[in-house]
Amino acid sequence: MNDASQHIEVYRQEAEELLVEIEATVLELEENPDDIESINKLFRAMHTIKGSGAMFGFDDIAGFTHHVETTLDMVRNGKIPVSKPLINLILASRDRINEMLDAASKGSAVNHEENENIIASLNALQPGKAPDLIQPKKETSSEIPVQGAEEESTYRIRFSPHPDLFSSGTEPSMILEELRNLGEATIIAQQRNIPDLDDLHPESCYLYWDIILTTRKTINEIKDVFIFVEDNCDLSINILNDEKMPGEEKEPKKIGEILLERKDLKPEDLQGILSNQKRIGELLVDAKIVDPNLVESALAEQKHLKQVTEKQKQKQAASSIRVPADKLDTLVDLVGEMVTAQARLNQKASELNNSDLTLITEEIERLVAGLRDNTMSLRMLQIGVTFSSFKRLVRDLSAELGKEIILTTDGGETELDKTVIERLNDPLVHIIRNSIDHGIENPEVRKQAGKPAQGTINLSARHTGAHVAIQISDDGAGLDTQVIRAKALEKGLIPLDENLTEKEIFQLIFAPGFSTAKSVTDVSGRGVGMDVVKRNVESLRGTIEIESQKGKGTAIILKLPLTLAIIDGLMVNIGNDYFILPLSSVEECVELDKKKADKIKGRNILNVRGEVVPYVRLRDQFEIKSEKPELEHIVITEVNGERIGFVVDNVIGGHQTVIKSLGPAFKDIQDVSGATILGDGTVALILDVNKLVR
Amino acid sequence: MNLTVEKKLTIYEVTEIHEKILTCLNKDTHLQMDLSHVTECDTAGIQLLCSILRTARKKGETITIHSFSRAIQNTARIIGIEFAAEK
Repeated sequence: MNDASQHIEVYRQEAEELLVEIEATVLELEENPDDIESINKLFRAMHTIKGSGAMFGFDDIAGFTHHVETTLDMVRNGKIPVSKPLINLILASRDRINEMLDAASKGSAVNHEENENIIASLNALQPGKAPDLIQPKKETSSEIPVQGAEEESTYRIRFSPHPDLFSSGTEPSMILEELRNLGEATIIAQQRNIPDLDDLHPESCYLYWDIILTTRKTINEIKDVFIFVEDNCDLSINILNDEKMPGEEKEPKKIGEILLERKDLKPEDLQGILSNQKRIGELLVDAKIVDPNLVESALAEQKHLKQVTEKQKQKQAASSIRVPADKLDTLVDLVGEMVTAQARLNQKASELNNSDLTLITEEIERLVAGLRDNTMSLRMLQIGVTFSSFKRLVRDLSAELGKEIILTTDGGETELDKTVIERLNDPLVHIIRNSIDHGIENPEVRKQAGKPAQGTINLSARHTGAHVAIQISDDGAGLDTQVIRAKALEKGLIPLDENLTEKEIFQLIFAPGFSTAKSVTDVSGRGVGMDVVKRNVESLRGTIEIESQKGKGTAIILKLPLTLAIIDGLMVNIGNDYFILPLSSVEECVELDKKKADKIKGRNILNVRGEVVPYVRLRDQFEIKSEKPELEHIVITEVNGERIGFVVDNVIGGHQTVIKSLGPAFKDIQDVSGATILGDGTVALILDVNKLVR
Repeated sequence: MNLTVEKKLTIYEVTEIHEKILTCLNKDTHLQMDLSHVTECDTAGIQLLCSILRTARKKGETITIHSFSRAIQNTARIIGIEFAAEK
């Protein structure tokens, strides 16, 4: 890739990330219309897309985004209120920019009419009045290169207006707003000088402010904010921390220090108090040496600095590097091969019984294990990103259907393998759509049922041992077993007299062609859904379960392995062949006592502590011809909530292996999900218990 | 005695409102203020509210404020003042 197209690619990726952030921020803004920070975030994001777009020749995008940026500028200046039409327009603009990005990369044409429509709607939002007669603010345009400070510094600012500040026509909130625009500000107003009503002159200003500001701007730029009030106030600006050496741990400032620096405390008083054991701030207030408000203000400064240091630490830890996915895949492959080779090395070393060699191979084993764990974790991504992307889906879809639904999430920081997350996307979308379409009722119906008009869908993820459990639950109508049963009968999926447990009835939902939607809406209900979802989940070696209570709601629980590349397995052998069963499914192993075995309706069953467990003879299943041993063993597994046994010759033990796929020639073989290479070079087949059971 | 503050609570109105409050307090021992209609509020307005609250704390429950409007909460937030939950 030549230089130019590399930069273009970087721009595209950056723009895509910004668009994701924009969508999330807009939805947040919809819930909190007064959040200035969200508005600023949106403005900055659009501004960046416009600026970089212009730089790399994406003139269409830059030109269009300019209008959105202008609108957002007016919003943050209070000239346009945050309203539902505005939110919808910003979302529409975001979608347009996304489409234009796609068109640009594919080289296809852009539909300008759509852009014109959105721009016209944006313009219509602008106020028709003459511009406000507010005193001119300093133009802090980001296109002008910032001179001086590139790094962040923290300043303590004390802004003490004179009593005649209001009379001179100054409104402090505007100054404080402007300060907030310069960076991260903690603002505390000091009210201590405000008298009681009897003594109050309402037009005098008694308030003064302590501000801690972390910013990249220079001290002069900060002073500029106060330029029009310099004559009407006392202003002190002090720089607080100087980050000179990276890696040097900055001690958070002690309260006493801060108060001393501010001259709110005399050194001798500080010394006197330090000899006691109570917290400095408390002591000073108790002893009436320092006003509680001043202590509070100093505490705020301490907290602000702590937060800034934390963020800086996080930034250093969180700096990341982009890596093309295929490079990562190659790395994972190589590591996998290394694990295999190392296993063989181990085996050979133990055969040779040379202590020096054994020592070295043990060290290599340790290092390779570390390398493997580390590489696997590279592919792990937080599922929170996927969860957040569904918020838009829920919003749009529920609006379409006239329902009020909110999406809540838990455990977004839970990590899963990148491939697993990608392949989970479609199933999750389908489950959520079902929930919105069939699960959550109309607001009227809900109110009648005594539920809040707004329904809730909750997505949660958490680690459970070697798995991740993802739950999608709603507080909707729940599943009606009668309806499901009736439908199944109608479709001939079950015989008339069959007595099914609630769990078994729920399982019917996963049958192909099943759908209980009374009307096939556009959204779901075509009946292609849940069986495909189940297959997708199973192809990820996961399981899917349903819990539901009629009238209360439904929960769908997915359990997935943390990684697709490695499996914890139980190694067994039949004759000269070795097989691996996934350990997560295995419950126990028992000897197969021929006397206890039995037959009911032609099925092999075994009595295990009073419970009837059907079993499969893998020898027969795989038509293995070698001689059967006297004593066989049976591995009892749990599949889909049922217990099934597999008869093998011997159970060898636990074995963690790297899974290799069998290759295209064998892809239709159902019972086997892959293979692994053992230490001595033999191939063991990994069995797919779900398929074996059918 | 009830006092409803109209749309504006700014430097231009604070003197008048202040006088009204003082008059009310002289006649009556209890004053109820309704702030829910305020759509414009500046620092002078917030300052007046601070003084009212401080006086109420000292004199004990003689002044009750209903509903700090959104505009008031907004301005208060910008200038770094937290009003405790509605009295």
